[in-house]
Amino acid sequence: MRSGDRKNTFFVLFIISVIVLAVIYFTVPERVNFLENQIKWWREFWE
Amino acid sequence: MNTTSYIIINLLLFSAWHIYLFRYNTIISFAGRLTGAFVLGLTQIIATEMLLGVVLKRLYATQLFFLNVFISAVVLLYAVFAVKRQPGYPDENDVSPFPLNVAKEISCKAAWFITELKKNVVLSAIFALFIISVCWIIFSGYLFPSYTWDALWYHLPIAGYIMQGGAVREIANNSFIDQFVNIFPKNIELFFLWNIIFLKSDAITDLSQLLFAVAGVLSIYGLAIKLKVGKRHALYSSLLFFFTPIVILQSSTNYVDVAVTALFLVAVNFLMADMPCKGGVETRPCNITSILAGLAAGLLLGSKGSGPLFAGILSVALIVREFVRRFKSPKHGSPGAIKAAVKGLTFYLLFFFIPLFLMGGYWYIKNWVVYGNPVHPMEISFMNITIFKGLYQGIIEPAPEIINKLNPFTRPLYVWLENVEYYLYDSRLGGLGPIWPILFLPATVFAVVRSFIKRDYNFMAVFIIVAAAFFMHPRNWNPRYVIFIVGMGALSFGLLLDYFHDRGRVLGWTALLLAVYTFLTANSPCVTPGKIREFIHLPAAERTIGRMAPFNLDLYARQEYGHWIWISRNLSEGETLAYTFEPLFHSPLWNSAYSSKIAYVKSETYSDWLQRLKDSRATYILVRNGSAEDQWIEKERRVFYLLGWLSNAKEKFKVEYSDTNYKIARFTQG
Repeated sequence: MRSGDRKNTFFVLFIISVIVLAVIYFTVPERVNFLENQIKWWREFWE
Repeated sequence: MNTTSYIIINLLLFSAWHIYLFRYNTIISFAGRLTGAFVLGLTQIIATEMLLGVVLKRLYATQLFFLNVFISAVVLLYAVFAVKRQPGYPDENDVSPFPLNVAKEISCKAAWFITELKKNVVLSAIFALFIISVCWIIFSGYLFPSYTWDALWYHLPIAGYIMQGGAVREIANNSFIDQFVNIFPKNIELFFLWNIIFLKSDAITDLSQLLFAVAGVLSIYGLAIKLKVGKRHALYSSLLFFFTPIVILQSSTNYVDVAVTALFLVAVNFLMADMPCKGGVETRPCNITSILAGLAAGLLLGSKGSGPLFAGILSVALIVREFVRRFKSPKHGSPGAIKAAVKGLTFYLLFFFIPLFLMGGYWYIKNWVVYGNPVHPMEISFMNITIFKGLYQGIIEPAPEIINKLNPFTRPLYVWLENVEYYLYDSRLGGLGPIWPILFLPATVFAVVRSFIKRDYNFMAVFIIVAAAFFMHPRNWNPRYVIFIVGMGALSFGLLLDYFHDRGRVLGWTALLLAVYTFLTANSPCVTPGKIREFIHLPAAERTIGRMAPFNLDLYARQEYGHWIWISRNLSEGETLAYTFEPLFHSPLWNSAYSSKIAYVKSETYSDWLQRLKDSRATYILVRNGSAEDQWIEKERRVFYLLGWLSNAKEKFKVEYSDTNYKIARFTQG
């Protein structure tokens, strides 16, 4: 495998792992409440 | 005048050390010299405070100011006029290190930095977010008083007791927290004190850790350069390290966790002797970098009870480095394993251990002498043999229930997913933010594999040091104790960007998005928009913890606010407040300048209590309603109102504050 191809493969693997981890991170049950709290904070801030 | 003296002494102190370090510009990078100046400045601050506080028992603003002016003037004069050059000085015809050259270097670096920003929109955006975050931290830190639990419980009282006595000494063990105040290593509290004593106000002492956060950012940059990461990607690494919610939130609190992580990263940075300008492994003994690493490790040792763990790991790293360098170096003629080990150990003792011990050893020796155990009250045992007796066999603070249900390997993973509804300065189930698990964690895995394949020993060394600290830390699931792993992730991400080159742009944009997310979500729930609006319109003296009523304390402290506000308004310099019960926090019993005094005065009998009040020179007394002291005061006042007119006697207890729980009475002797 050429160096460029290997890099492409690693890059795709890395991007997939980033997407998977992002999905896991942003879908934990508490994230909704977390985001609601933050939106509330910023809404109060701009009032 | 207070502000002027504070600015003068800080400018003089840090600029003197920066100018001094300029002579090492071929050995230490610009970013390294900035952190070096910070380490040396901090060392000077703590050393002078310990000289005045421990030895001379005269730790007051005037003495501290003039002692530091004198030392910094000597350093500055030496740096400017000393003609002795370090080997390898770039231009032999150039004048000796001189402030003008230092200024030129700073302007050159600034120009280069601006050019880099102009070339890369993502980097510019991340830097803009960094600057906005720093400004926000400074604004909120200045606007609000120190509101965090441990700060009020023992970090600030440590500074308060030192200031009121003008000495670093043990206080009477009247309660659990008094014991903690006594045994806690106090290096960072001495820095908190530095940010109070000249200003005669605690308004900005909660920003002390922000400097450590910036030192951590610079260290990551320095480390990335040493690991051969391209400069632009090194900037990415260093700036992204800052976007860790716990770093942002703690940068405006009187905690010590950011300081511990930053000092650890600074020490690791100075331990890595592979200088970019040399293009390879430094073969000459790096005395100055080892000394700086030793000082940073010493400052860390004296910052927290976990300091010995980090100091031990850094010591082993330096000994191994010196052994390998001497054993393999052709310059030293391969002296043999034993000779290399002896020479390496000698180097370690001279250039690392002595600075380390001088800057952090005192607190442990003192605890050993006073309590018979260097880490009192923790018991130290090995293979069921008790080496040092203590009161507790483990960490006192219980872990959350969910953590106890998980095994040691899944605990950090659970915490990294951040099952929390908000970030807090000491949140235990989150705080490292999304950049760590989404970008930095896979990047670390990638970089470790790559370093093994490529035999990148420098990266492996950094990884082993950081991993050892992480795996050996008894509470490595708690984000605030292991912030340094984010530093490792940031370095790995820089390497990854280098490796992927142009393909890495999408990763840069992803990092920016996550940085924006962190920037928007790392708000303290204690600093609400409503309170910001209210506090902007209040004079500095009125911006107190009682007025703030932060949600982390409110449930426990709301009945305390009344007398805390009264104290901050009415207790002036030299007044002594005698308290007669174990308070929730000691810190709010001082005025905001910590120029008043507090004393615990309790007794079984009225006459003895009266005598003790006189002995402690109490001017005010804080009592709980219905307590024995309250009844004595009321009885005394009834007698005075009935018979006082018969004589010219002064009223002994004049009640000046009263609520449903507490009374404060002015005490007049005589």
